[in-house]
Amino acid sequence: MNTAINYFGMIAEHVGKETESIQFTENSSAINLREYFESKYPTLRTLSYKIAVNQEFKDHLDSGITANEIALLPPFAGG
Amino acid sequence: MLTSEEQNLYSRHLLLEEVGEKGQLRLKKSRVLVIGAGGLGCPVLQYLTAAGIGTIGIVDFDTVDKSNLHRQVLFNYDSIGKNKANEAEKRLSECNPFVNLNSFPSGINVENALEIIANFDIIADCTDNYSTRFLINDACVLLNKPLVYSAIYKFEGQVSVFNYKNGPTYRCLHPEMPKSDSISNCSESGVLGVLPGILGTLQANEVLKLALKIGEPLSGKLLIYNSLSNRSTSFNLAKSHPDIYTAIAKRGYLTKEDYTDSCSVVSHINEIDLEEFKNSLQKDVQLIDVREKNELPKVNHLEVLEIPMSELKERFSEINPLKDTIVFCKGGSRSRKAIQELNELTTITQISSLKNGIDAYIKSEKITQ
Repeated sequence: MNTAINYFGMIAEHVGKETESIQFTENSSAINLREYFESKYPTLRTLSYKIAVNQEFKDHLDSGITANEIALLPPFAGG
Repeated sequence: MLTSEEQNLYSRHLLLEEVGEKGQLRLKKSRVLVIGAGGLGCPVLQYLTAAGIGTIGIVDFDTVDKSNLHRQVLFNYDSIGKNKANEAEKRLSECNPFVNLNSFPSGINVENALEIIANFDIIADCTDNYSTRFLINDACVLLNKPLVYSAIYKFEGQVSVFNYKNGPTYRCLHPEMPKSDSISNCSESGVLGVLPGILGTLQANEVLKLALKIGEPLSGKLLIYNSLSNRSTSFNLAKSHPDIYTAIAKRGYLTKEDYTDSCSVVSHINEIDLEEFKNSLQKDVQLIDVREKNELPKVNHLEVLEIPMSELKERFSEINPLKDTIVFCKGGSRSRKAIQELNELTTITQISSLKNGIDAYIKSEKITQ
């Protein structure tokens, strides 16, 4: 099953897209999403961001779980 | 009891079963502190005043700049150069005579945060930088005050209610200061004028819900809205227990060391004041303007090397490292960050930052373009 990846704010600017679809291979053990995205987009290593799996903040995709949506959210402080 | 004039003024509230006279009296009894009278603060203040919050505190140290007017719709051309808190108080007092308005033009800092916040029931964070946001959050945690939060970036904004009935706080979202590359500088990223209007209105809505004790406050949730796609997504935010709260609670007061970010740091950077700056103009100094290209006013009568902050990494070699160098920006924060960056890239014999920025110089010289 494909997972919709949504990139927000400055993260979208760094990866060059706001959304994409990724098919994670059958995961027998948890996937470290931070490592996954940072190897796919090394520019993310210099940034702060939170990862949400199905609207819950977590850095891992637990084994046996398929995610409908993963979001990468940068902090911002403008007002 | 409401006077007959108040009953007329709030008649459309009184018609709502969820508000009614009981709710309107709750609003009247409420004391709300709005910190930051800028893009978010203006709509928050306007709606809270119109809704009849009894006491509203307005905190802002800054003055109205022409570039604020495209989004800070409480102000007009006459407001330019005046303190935002005082100016907001003046304009809001014309909107509702039943609201008690208190302005705090000195701004909020580690010395006065607890004293100011203690006098209010609900706090709205409408500021524009991480260090002040962390400071307000920690003070609210220490004093057990609900904090209605919003932040914006270009076309995107987020809203949440923190520290509500022991719920998640700002540090559950951001335990610590973000990495410096994640911090966009105050003036360089831009914002669509209407965006803080939308987010500030959502923020005012949360304040009113808390004051009225109706609906579901956005506690434990982070709402993100994008004005280009009209997409809004709500994320669940769990409570965590950052160690810093234990440390602060034990200490009982706030210290500067907890609230330094790269927009408001830095220890070992030499700063010069206006007088020293003017004196050094008589000597052979190299002036570097790190403001972005679109920022005004230019200082045409001085010889200035313009290297916007966003181009510093590519263009730092244009700076003569042997000359006495003064870096300036609008307000004195970015210039310090620029020096910090330059120190990592190269060695410049003598480099200083202009305290309070070129705006202070322009004001003193009364120079117009």
